[in-house]
Amino acid sequence: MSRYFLWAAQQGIILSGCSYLPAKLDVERVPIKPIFYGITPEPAVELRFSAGKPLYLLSAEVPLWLAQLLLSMAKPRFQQAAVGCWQRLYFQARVSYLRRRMQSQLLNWEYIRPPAPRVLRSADMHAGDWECCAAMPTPELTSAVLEALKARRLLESELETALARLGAVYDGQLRVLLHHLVLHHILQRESAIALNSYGRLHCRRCGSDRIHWAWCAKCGSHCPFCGDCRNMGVARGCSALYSLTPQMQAHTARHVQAVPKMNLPFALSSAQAAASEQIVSAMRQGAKEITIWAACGAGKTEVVYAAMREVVGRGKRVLLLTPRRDVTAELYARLQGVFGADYVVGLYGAAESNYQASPIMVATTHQAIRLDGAFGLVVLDECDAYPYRTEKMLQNAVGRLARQGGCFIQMTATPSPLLRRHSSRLVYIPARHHGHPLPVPNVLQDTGLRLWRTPEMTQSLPPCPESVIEALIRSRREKAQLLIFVPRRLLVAPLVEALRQVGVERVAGVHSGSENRDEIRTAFKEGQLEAVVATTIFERGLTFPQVNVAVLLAETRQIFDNAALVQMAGRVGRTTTRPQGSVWFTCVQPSQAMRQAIEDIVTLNEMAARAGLLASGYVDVAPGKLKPGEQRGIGDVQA
Amino acid sequence: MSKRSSVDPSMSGSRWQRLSGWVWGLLRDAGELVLPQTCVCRLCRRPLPAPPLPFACYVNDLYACLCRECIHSLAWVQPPLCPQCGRPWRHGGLCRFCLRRRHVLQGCSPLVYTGAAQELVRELKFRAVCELGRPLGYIIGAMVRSAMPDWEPQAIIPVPLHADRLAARGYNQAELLSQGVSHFLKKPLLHQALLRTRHTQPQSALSVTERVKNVHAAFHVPHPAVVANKRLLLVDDVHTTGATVHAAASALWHAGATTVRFATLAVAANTADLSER
Ligand SMILES: [Zn+2]
Ligand SMILES: [Zn+2]
Ligand SMILES: [Zn+2]
Ligand SMILES: [Zn+2]
Repeated sequence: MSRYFLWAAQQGIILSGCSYLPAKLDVERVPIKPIFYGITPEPAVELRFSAGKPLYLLSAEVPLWLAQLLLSMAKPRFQQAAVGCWQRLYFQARVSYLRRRMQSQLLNWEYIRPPAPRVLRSADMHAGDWECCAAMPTPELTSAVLEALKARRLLESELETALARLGAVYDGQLRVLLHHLVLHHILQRESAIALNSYGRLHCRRCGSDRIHWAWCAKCGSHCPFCGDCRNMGVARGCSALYSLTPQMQAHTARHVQAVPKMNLPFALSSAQAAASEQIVSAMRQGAKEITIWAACGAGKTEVVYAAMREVVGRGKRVLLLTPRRDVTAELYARLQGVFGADYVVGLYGAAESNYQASPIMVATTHQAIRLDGAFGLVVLDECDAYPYRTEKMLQNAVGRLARQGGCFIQMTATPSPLLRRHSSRLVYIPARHHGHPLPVPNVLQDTGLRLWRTPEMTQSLPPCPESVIEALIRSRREKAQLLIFVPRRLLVAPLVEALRQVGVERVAGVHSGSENRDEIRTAFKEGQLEAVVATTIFERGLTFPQVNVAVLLAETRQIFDNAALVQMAGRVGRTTTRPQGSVWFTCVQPSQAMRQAIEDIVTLNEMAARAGLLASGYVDVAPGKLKPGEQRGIGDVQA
Repeated sequence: MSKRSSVDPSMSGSRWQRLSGWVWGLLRDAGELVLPQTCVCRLCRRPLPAPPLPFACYVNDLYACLCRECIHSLAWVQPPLCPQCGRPWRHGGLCRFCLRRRHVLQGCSPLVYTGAAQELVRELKFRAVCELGRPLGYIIGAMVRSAMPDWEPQAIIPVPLHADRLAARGYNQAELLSQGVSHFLKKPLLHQALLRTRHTQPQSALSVTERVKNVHAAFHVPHPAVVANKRLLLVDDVHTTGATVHAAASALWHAGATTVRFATLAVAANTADLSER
C-alpha cells in the first residue's frame, strides 16, 4: 500500500476518491509539479474547481483517519528532511502495528488495495453519478457558516446544530457544501483523530492520545474515537473538524469600534489597584504569561478589568475561563454589569446555545475545546480548581488557546509548586479589601476520627468526634455558624445523624447529589441552620457572612490537598460585618498538605503586613525587609 | 502557508520539540507495559485507586469504571416487585402497566432509573462510553440468572435503532449492553435478526398511549427462520412503559419465536414505590 502511494507521489498526483483533503501540501517543497495533491471527499467538487484539468482517482473511499495516515506516509517524499532515521524507523513500526491491528478487526481490508488508477474528466460530470456537485453554497449559508465558526472549531455534527439554530437552510449534503468553502480557503478542515509524527493516534480536538477503538456505524468499520472529550460530542476517526482559515479568522475579529466604558460598582482596594497597574504594564511590555496569587476573598477578578479593556480597545477578543459552571454564571453577570451586555457573552451549560462571538467571552474550561482563533488575552480563574486541575484534556485545550498568541493570565489562591517556579511573572494580592488578615487554621488532633474513615464498614454509628464538638462549642460562644467539610459523600449522612444525637437540631447535609442543595445554601446564609455538613462542593465561590469552618479528616489525600484546604479556610471572614473567624483542621495525624496550606496563609498575611495593606491594628512587621525571592511582589511597588 | 494548516502540526516544531515528542512516545509505549494507567470514575471524575494489574485487564469489572461511592449510590431494585416486568410496585401483584396489557411480557432490570443510574444511562447513550457496556451487561446477565432461574434464553437480541439514528450516533447502546449479557450467559448475540424499519420519535417526550402508537409495527424480522422456535432475550437500556419492548417482542412472536423475555439496565418507578426502604 505504501509503495503504491509513493508511486503516486513520484508521479505528482496523489489523489482522490478517498475521503479527505487535509490541507494542500506545501507546493514549493514538492520537486515535481502536481495537478492536485491530497485526498478529497468530493471528487466532483474538486473537478469543477480544477477548471477542466483531469483528476486522477486512485482509490475507493477510505475512512478519514486512515486517509490522513496514508497522506502522512506519502509525506516523507515531499519533505525529505522532516524526520530523522531512528524516528522514521519507529514511525514505521508504529504504523505496521496499527495496520496489523486494523487488519484483525476489519474484514474488508481489500478496499485499500489499489484499484487501477482512473482519470476523471469534466465530461464525467454529466454522467449522472455526480449530482451532488450541482449544489453550491448560497451566500446565506456561507455567512451562516462564518457566523457559526467565528472564534470556534467544531465537529461536523456540532456545526450542523449550530447552523440549524442560526436558521440556515441548505439543500444537498452539508459535507459537499462545506467542501466548496474549503476549496475557496474560507474553511479549513482536519481529521478529528490523526496520527502524529511519532506514529501515535491522537485527538486533534483535545490533544489526548487515549484513543479507543469500536465498531462505528457512521463509517461502517472499526473506527478510533477519543476517550477524553466524548462528553462534548464524540470525536471519531471519520469525523472532521472545521474552523475558519487564519486569514478569515483575523478578518472576522476586526469588530470593535470603541473602547468599552467601565463602570465599577466600587473602587478597587489599594492592593487591587497596585496589582492591576502591574498587570497592565507587564502586558504593555509584551509579557506572555502572568500568574496572580491572591488571598481568598481579595477580589482577583476586578484586577484584570483594566487589562481586558485595553485588549478589547486594540480590537482583539478576550476569553475568561473558569472550571466551575456556577462561578462562570456569576462572573458573566458581573462582567455584564461592568462592560455592558453588548460586549459580553457567556458560554456555559444552557446559555451556550446562544453563541455569539463577542469581544469578551466568559466560558467554562470545557468550552475551551470548541473555541479557536487568536484571543488577545486568555484569563483562567481558579486554575487550581477541580476538574481543571486533574483533567489533562482541559489543560491541553486551555494551553492550546493560550499558545495561539496573546497574553495568558492565571489566577489562583494556591499556585502549584510548578506554577510558582515557572511563571515568569507572579503578581500578589495578599490582603482582603477590609484589611484584616486571613484566619490561620488551628490543627486539632483527635484519635477518635479513626472510626470516621470508613463509617459504612462499621455496624453502628460512630460517636460524634470530640474535635467537632469542640469546634461547635467555640462557634456557639462566638455566635457563629459552623460549616463542616467532609472528604467523602458517604460521610455526610452519618455525621448529620451523629450531630443530631449530641443535640444539634438545626443541621443539614449537602453533597453533589442532593436535590435541595440551593435551599440549604440559602437557609444557611440566612442563619436558619446552626451547622451544615458538606463535601467539597461548598469549597469555592460561596460567601456565608457568619461562618466558622471545620475540616473533618483534613489529612485525607487526593481530596483535601493544599489548594482545597486553603480554599475552605478562605470561606471564613470574607465580609466587613465579620472580618474574622476560626478555622479548624481536625485530623488523626497532620499531613504535609495541611502544613503547606497553613504556611501559605501565614506567608500571605506576612506579605500584607509588610506592604502595609492591613488595618492599623495589625501592622506589626517592619516594612522594607524583603527576602530575595519575594521582590516581585506588591512590596516593591509600594516602596 | 501558516503552521496550523500544514498536514501535521507536530511535524513542524523545532528539531528539539520533535525529538522530545518522539522520546516521550517511546516512553509511553514502554510504560504502558509496566505501569498501570490512571483512570477516573465515569460519574464523579475522581481518580480510581490503581488495581494490581493494568486497567485493561478488568474489562468486565464495574469497579474499573466507577468509584466505590458511585457504585454504592446506584439504586438497586428491591422487592416488592411486579412479578411480570420486575418494576418496584408496593401494592403487590401486577403493576399498572402490566394490568393494561393483553399479552404480558416477563422481564427484569437490576437498577431503578433515578440519580446515578440515570446518569449512567446517559453516559452510555450519548457519550459513547463503550467500556461501560461489558460490566453493565454482566450485571444484567446476573439479574437474568437470579430472576428467571428456570428459564434460559437461546439467543440475545438487542433492541435495534433505526438505521439513520444509528448512523448519526455511531453505535447502539442496547447492543453494547447485550454484548456483556451474551458474554455472561454464554449465549449467541443476534445482531441483525431484528430491524427497526420506521422512524420513531424519541419516546421520552410522549405520553403512555402515544408511546404505544409511536412504536407500533416499527420492528421487522428480515429472516424469520433465524428466530423461529427459539427462546429469546431482548436487551434494552431503559424500561419505562414497556411500549418499545412489547412492539419488538410482537415482531419476534409473529416470526415464530417460542418465548420472548426482556432484560433492561434500568426501570422507571414511582418514588412512592421506592420510599419503603
Ligand atoms: Zn479528544
Ligand atoms: Zn467511523
Ligand atoms: Zn465516582
Ligand atoms: Zn409490571
